[in-house]
Amino acid sequence: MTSTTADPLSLTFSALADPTRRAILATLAKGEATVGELAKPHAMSLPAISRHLKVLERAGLVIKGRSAQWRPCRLDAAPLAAADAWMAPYRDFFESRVARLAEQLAQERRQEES
Amino acid sequence: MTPADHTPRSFTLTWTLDAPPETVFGAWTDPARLGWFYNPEQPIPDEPIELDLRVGGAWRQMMVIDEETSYFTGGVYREIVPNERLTFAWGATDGWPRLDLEDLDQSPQVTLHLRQTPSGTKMTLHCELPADLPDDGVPGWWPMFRGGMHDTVDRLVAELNRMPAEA
Repeated sequence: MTSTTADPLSLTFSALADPTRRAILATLAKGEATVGELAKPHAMSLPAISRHLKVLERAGLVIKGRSAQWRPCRLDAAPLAAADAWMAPYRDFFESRVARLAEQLAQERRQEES
Repeated sequence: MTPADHTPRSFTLTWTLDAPPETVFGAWTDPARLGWFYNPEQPIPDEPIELDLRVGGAWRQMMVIDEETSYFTGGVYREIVPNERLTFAWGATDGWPRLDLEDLDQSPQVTLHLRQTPSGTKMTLHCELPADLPDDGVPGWWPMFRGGMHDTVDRLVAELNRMPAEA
């Protein structure tokens, strides 16, 4: 038995660990694109970009179109949402507090001035 | 540290606060000035805030959800550069996130950076979450109200775009 199944969250995060792949996702966030279009901004060969796309596909972040000649890639944001949901409580904890910090600092300043 | 192993299980929050860095640093490290850390909609406990501002020292603060539910949070300091930087393993031994004093690396690591800018103190909070945080790391009482999917994805994409091009 080979264990090749990583949990989806680990697949997502390891796919996101590479700056080229993040750049590809950022491009796809604006709309679908072909492999050639995705390769253009990077100083990389098409096969190298294809390898990155495979990682993103495996993580379910990129879906390739069916048309043989023109296979636009598009972003599937669902795994990103899952990754975001995993981090959300930790982030929200601080996010929800800092508004209060700003208020307290303003209050402290008013007390000093009076 | 091999950059290839770095996975972005982290988030960065940035605010600009209308106060000098030393005032902001004090609001994080002076127990008498940590009142902002309580949720204004929840009761404030009688339990005093404990804080030992030394590397290895702990900050412990009780948070109350309602009459029956409360938890400790805080952290153990790992780096202290007054008015500039504060790093801590976030959590409490019997609280949330759960902190193991024998293995601080298992906890979320929070680094706070303060920098004076013309418009105030730029405060950056960076939090690294270990990959093996337990599934039950998020307590059941955590209010699971989340924004729409669009909000969260937009936010994550924005977050990704902010990351340095070279990891």
